[in-house]
Amino acid sequence: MREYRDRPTEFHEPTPAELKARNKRNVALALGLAIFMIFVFVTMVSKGVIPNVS
Amino acid sequence: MSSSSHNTDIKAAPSGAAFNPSGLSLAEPSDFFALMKPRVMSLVVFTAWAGLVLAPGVIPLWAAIASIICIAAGAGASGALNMWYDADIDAQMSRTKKRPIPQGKMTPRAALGFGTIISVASVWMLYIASNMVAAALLAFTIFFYLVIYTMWLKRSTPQNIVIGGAAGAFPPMIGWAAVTGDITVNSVLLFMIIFIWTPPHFWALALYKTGDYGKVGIPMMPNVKGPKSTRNQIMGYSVLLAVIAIAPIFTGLAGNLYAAFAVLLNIGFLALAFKVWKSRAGEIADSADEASLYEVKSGDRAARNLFAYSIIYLFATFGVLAAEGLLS
Repeated sequence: MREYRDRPTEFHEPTPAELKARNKRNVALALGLAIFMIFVFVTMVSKGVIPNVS
Repeated sequence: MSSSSHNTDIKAAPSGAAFNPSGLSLAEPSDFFALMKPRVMSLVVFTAWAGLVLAPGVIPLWAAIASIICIAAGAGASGALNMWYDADIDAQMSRTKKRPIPQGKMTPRAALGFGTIISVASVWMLYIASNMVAAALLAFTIFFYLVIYTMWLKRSTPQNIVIGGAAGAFPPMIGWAAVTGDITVNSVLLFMIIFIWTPPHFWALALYKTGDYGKVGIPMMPNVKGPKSTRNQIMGYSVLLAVIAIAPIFTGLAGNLYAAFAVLLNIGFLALAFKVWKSRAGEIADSADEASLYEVKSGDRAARNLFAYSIIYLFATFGVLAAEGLLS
């Protein structure tokens, strides 16, 4: 495994379209996670699960 | 087509993303959104909202919004899981071949991961936002749609959408349970309206898309029992739907406003179903634009009209029920 990582036999340069799609996915994933965290927090506060925050 | 042969094709597909040499996928966020079947999701959101509005009692606004979001996400997740499992037949059907997996934008495995994560998150969040009953109903809906309908019934029986239709009928019941935490006669009635509406809705579509379902081996009613039997059953279910749709007036769920609209809406439904019954819909080989949901040959117009009207019917029925619930 180590040898394989040091000397890759095949490497395919990603195309600009692939890199662009990956960037979009990364941004969407980050936004999705942030929104989900806020969503969980607000829901828990509104339900009184986190009592010290009002 | 057997279900055992189906997954072999999927597993034989490259496990790297989108079959590209670099291993990177071309899938964009919009493709993941498309996996969630946004058109179906809009109907789910609407009927769940109606259930929430009609249920006796009140819940905080945020809990109501959160519940609707969770129900929508759960429905979307089951759509993604459906596309994972049905990737093989989707690629061969004109109506579905432009979905993200058949187009090669993402692998079935990516859809499986996406659908699983959203499923778990939506059920858990619904439990936090509302209660255990609503969350359990959502979990059961996802299970029912994926395992009972997609994996089992869809490829094995022409009754697939009759029984499988239950999955699409649960959202108003979940919305109701999010408020009350229980299942009552009235919430079951909301379920029954969608449940009985589903066969005439889908069979009307199947009548003029017979070839599409037939070539992938999906045993839809027109392929198995023939167009005449399908038209008879559409008529039968339409009569039953009219009876069920009037029932909320007698259980106290709806009043005079709904009664007036329900009579008109069901007269329209029965009239269009009668035209289908009298027509020769489904008996001529497909020749219209395959990709279009509404493009049909002249003989199939009655079926197309019933299919289109049935969508308006469901929105209007739940819209009037909810409006009256809000006004009273």
